Amino acid sequence: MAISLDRQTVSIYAGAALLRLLVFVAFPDLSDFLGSQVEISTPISSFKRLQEGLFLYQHGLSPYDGGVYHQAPLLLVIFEILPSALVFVALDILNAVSLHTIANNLDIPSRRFRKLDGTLIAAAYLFNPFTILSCLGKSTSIFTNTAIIQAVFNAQSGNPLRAMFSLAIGTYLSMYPGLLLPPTLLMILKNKDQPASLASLVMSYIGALAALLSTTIILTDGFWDFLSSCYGAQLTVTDLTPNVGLWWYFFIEIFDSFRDFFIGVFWLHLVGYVGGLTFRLQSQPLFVITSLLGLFAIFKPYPSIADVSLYLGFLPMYSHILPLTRYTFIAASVLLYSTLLGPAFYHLWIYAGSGNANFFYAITLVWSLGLTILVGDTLFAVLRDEWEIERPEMKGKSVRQI
Amino acid sequence: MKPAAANSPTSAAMTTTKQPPPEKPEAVRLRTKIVLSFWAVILLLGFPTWWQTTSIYRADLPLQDMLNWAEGLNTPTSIPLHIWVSAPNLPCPDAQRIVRETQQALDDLNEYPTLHQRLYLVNWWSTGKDNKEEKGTPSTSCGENPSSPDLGDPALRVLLEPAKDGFAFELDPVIAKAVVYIPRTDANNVSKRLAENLHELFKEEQVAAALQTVALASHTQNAQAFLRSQPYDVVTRIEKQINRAYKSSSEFHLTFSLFTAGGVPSSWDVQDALSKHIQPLVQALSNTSEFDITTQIQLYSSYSPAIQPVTKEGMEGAFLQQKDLTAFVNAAEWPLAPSIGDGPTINFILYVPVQDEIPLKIDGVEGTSWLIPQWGGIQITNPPLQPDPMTGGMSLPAHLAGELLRQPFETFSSQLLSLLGVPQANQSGKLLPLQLRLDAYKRFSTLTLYLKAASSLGSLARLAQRLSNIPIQKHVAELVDDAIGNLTAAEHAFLESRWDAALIHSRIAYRDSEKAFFDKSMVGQVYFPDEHKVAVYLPLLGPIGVPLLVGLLREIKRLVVRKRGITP
Amino acid sequence: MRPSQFLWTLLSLVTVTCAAHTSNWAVLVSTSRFWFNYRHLANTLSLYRTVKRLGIPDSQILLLLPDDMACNPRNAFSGTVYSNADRRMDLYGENVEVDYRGYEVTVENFIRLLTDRWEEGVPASKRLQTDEGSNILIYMTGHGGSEFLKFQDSEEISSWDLADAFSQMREKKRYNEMLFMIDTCQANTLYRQFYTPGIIATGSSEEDESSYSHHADNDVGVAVIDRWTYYVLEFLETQVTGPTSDKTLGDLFDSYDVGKIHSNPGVRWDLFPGGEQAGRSRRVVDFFGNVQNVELQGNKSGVELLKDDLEGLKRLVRDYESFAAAQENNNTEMLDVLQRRTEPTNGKNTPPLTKQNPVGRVNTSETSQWTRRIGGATVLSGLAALWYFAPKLV
Repeated sequence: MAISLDRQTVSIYAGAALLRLLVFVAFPDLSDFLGSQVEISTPISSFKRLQEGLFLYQHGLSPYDGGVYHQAPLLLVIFEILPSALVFVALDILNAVSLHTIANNLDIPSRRFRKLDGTLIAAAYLFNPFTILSCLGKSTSIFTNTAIIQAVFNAQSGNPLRAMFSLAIGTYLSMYPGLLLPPTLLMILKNKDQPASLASLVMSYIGALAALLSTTIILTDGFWDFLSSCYGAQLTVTDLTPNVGLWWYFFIEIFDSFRDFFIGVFWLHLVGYVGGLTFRLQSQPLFVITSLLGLFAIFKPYPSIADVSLYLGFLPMYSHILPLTRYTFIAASVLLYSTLLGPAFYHLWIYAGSGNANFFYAITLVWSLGLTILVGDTLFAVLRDEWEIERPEMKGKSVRQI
Repeated sequence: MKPAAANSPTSAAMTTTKQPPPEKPEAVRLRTKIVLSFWAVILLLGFPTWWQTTSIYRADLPLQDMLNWAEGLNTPTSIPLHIWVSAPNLPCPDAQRIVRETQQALDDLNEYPTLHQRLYLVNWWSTGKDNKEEKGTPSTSCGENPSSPDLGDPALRVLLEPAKDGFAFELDPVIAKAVVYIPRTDANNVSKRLAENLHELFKEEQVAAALQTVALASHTQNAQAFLRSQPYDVVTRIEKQINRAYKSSSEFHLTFSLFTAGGVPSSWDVQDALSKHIQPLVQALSNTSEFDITTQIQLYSSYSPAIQPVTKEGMEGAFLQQKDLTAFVNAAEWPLAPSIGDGPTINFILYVPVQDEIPLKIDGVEGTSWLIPQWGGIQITNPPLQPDPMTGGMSLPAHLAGELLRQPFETFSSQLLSLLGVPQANQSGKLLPLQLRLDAYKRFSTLTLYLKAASSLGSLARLAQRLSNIPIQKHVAELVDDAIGNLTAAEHAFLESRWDAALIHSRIAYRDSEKAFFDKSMVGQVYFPDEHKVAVYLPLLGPIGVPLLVGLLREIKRLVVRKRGITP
Repeated sequence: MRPSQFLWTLLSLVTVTCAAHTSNWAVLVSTSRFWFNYRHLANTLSLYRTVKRLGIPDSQILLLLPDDMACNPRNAFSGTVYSNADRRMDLYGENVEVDYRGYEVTVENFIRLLTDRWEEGVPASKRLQTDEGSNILIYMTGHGGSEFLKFQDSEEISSWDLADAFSQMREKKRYNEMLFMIDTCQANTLYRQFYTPGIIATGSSEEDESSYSHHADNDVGVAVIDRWTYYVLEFLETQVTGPTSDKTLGDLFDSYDVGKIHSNPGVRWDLFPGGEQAGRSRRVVDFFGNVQNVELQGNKSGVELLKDDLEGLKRLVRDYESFAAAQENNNTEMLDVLQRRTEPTNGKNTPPLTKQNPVGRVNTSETSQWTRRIGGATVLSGLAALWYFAPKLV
């Protein structure tokens, strides 16, 4: 990760790290408060639940007793040894550095594309309010985010085995990164620097995943408890604590006999995008990953703003398509609007008692709508960009879709 | 799945001119791939998911088998009752002849095959335990060995003794044993009279069994015919006796409660009373069911407010109306039916009224106790007032001593027997020996549990057939298999007249069949009409199904067109 | 033919085929919440008072009330519920036992209650522990439509659900006769799908017809009772004066006056054995009252007889004890017998070995803590090594 350490870069990183550490030290209550916000911590990423698991683990009990903890045991080991605030700040910095390097080395075959300044990308990530809030709220999604960024980084920089290993870590931590396997493979195979065979890559991915899963046996007694508590909870959506996603309200309301069926439908919906997008955008695997991350942030069972911060970490690398987008203003204002109103409506519902669940659910629908517009719009813009490469004479003219 | 809708058309030609330029072959191939990738997800993952999650799990039940059990097709045609006869002081041929002839007479007397007495000449007297002091003279070793595997549990042991004067049939007052004195002269009549005596002894048990069969099984012509041949009043009496009793269960909870209307008495010598009056009964019944005993005292517990006792001119105390007795129990405030474990709770209540109402009596009746069928017994006790050293007046004793509890607990123990359904005094008001009655109760319980288990299986089978959308979990099927296995075992035990084994198996069969029928998972699917299902699926079919279908149709159309373009 | 036998042949049909009526149970359900549905809870509580007055004990009444009107902040007469504007009779009073309240009143719980399919540990007071001798009165009120009745604004029970539940009850011999009463809009459609014998059903209004409230109490601020229930209660209060009343169901149903009720009440007889004729002759207290079956033990003869028994019992107990002692002596033989006995069932009966989680055993010893830490550190460093050497593996 060769980054030129000029003054601007250093000040950005140092500023971001200081800001976070300062809040952790000066306002420890704020961190607790943020950690209990439903937008930041979900049942599968809550630091409070992790502390519960850690307590059980440190007292020689299975961390999954009591059904509160739904995360991987590896996190317990990390937090048993290291102080939590430092880990979160360090991971944020690491993510920023990786994004910085990815951006520096990125080359997109488009005439609109200009060489990116990685420092700005890193700054956009580090000073994104969603990133800051989820770091201060100690959302453990950041581990998954790091794993995904590392996978992309290593795939790009010609380290296929490490990329596979990172993706395996992501899958081990929260399952859904496994869906990024096709575009990551595409990315590695397109990278001519380091030849690698598809079979060996898939094998190394599976091997790494198996190794990670097998560490569970060393760390805790109950392997099946781990599977059912960590992955079962995500697959069957047992905890219907409100979050910014679409699942919880739907599964509160659905007829019980159709619950299983719709869990299947929702998951397939998530899976369905992978193949289509990978085929369509073969030439730009990074954009496939970016768009998929956006879609995951909308349609995952337990999404939080940490997922959005990851998506928004990659998206600035496509700033060159900004002129081609059509609804950025709407998307941005809808996101801003729902960001501000979401906590307010949640408060009205839960604490003030003057609103009901529909208030908050409506705002999460708006939030998802905003993200959908953003994802759709950028997808369209990239397609338009591709098409312009194909037919340069049409540049700047309006087109009609047939 | 928006991209499917959005991408494939976007990848198609876009143009400002009216005639779009021809698509490039790569673009067409790419679009095909995208459409196919979506359809692959739908077909390979979607349909299995749909199939798996919307079908109702129904484990395979041996329906026909279950129905057969309920209809009594597997029930043994006859359940014999073994009676061991021993005749150490008679010549062996004589003994054999008496047994043979008595058996014949019995068969003539009684055609109902359930609990039909079967005599066996068994040499139980000589090998019987601890009989040396009774000076048994093991002269002839006539008959089978008692440990022979062909013999079941004896319902009665009969000892034939030669007698100088006439025929006599003497039952032991406690245990199931009879001594029969056989006069040497009148040999023919002996068998007949012996048969009549034996028949009489078990007749009521047979009536009870037949009644239960009629109530619980479906093919009961035999039992009905038998009942019709019996005197009406006997049948109704026994029916009443059955209705009064609790349903057979393998576990009972006995709760003895002292409810006092005021603050005293606040203690009682219950341990003593229990060990004197109840424990022996419970111990004797312990091979049929398990009994838990709990006791409680609650002060300031008044009977239900609806009841107003009346006072009468010139008589002290108060009187309860007979019609009020049903409503006496204050269910809202008395902590009864504590739902411990599986079995039912039999309540015994000792009620001490407030001092003003003492003595509290029941209008028009002498006693102060009554029995509520299938619920328990209630007894009002009016303890003698004692001078109170504090106030100088008279007051209730603070402690109910053993002597005061004797009569109530005697009543309780008789109530317990009738609440359990242990046979009571017969027509002539005579009680059979206790052992015989307890054994009769055991056999009745066994038969009831057996019939109930079979009938539960039938109910479950019919339910499974009728309600096609009720889920049947695997463990329900396992319980059914278990129950059938135990019923079969019980059936074999019946045929061999091994009542202990039959009881154990019937009990398990009953427990498992009940568990299977009342399994809580079988409530899941409430009625869901088809038009509602359409409403559930519509959001899927609309926004997702239509673009996918259109994409697929376009691809197919293109393929068809291309083929046609090539062939001509 | 002997006279007794003749009598028997005459009565055999009655006594044997339909089991004796031995107990009475009542299930009284209101299905709606919220203050403006005050009248539904008042309906139900009025019925509760009536069946209690006629002798069904509280332990055999299951009362399902989804809301607590007595303690509603909008209730001007707090702690009370009235079903009449004259407010003479407080229905809530001092002695009311609500078995299911608030959000416990759901379709699932109601079906479970009818079919008695519960998880373990549900208290007896919440269960309908009826048997083949029980007559059951089921009264439901709330908001309904064609062949459905809403439960608490979020669910509904359909006529099919009820019909299936009743058929399961019949199948398991959980009732002798049943009277199903329902007061809701289009009530008569609710019993349309029933198919199980032994049920008499009656409802307040026909399909596409509303049921109306009777009158409002201006001080309470809402309607306090529904019309059909009001007139049924009026009949019960004025005509059925006690548990011994001879009024029949026929009398009750004949008292329906469409002019007063403002809707067309319906009755369904066809499921009842003997049809309308037999049904009409059933006494009202066969369903609303309790069967009078207390057995007084005035004479002590039974007790006297038992005294002799107790002596015998002691002898028996001694026998048992010596038998038990003997058994202990030849334990091995007994074991054999037991083994033989359990063998046929053993195939499936062995309880699965469940994994015992060491819950509760808090382990804080120093050594295990260190081993765990070392294990964790090893795993982490292993993964780090894997990470570091990954590129060099190719």
